[in-house]
Amino acid sequence: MLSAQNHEDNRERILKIYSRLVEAERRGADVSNHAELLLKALEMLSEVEGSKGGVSGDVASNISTILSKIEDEIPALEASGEAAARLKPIVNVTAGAGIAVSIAITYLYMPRLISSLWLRLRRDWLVRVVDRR
Amino acid sequence: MIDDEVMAVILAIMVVAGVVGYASILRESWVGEGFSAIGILGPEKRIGDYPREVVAGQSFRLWVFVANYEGRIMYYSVIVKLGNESSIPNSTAPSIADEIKRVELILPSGGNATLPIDLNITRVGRVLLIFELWYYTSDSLDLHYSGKWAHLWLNVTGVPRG
Repeated sequence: MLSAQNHEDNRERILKIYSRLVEAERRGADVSNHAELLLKALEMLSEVEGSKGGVSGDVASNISTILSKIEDEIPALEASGEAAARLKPIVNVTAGAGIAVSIAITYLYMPRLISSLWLRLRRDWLVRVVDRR
Repeated sequence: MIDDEVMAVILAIMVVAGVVGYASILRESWVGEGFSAIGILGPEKRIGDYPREVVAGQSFRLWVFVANYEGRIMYYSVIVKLGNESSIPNSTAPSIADEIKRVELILPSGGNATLPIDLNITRVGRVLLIFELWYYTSDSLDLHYSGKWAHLWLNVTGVPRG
């Protein structure tokens, strides 16, 4: 059976995990799967808190297992978020440079390209001289 | 000198890559004002099939819909209160009515959930059922009122005599 103190401890633990997930997300990690796991743990906890007949050790153990799993995975989550955050400025600068280069190339070569394609499309045309006198 | 057709292909690829890159930068840097939403659904999980009258002491079920568009994971608490005309909340102050039930949920960014809420009201008369949306702040972990609520008027009748 679980005591009210156990419930309070688990609730406190869920709040702390939530706070760590917020921080991991702020650093760029995708925490959606862990949010769902945490919601599951919270639902189980709410269910056992509402049950008048007491709670089996299995449910308590399941809640604890879910919470431990999330806690164990948070460091890796934070690391992946930090890696993504480090990569972000590089991706942004590369994309910006790519845009600038594509604009420059378009400006330099597009007129030549269009005129060359125009001529190529009309290479079989015959030119008739029109006397305008 | 590069052949014109090769140049055309290179240009096309670069223009498409540039547009995609620019769009992704715009999309990532776009930070709109986040918001949360709460709504009540009837026993059949539909808007509008709300009970008008319930029997005192008899359980009935409503559903509450919560959506998170805050742009980050959120820990919500839906607090159900039983009040009257003088205890309607507003966007800055929660209701002063008594709390009768509390449901907590955690939603990822962009997530939503529809939760059952089983209620049993014993106060007879015309009552106001208030559903307030609260959330835990991520830093201090305090519970804050979001300014969002939904309410429902109910006539609670006495227990029918057999």
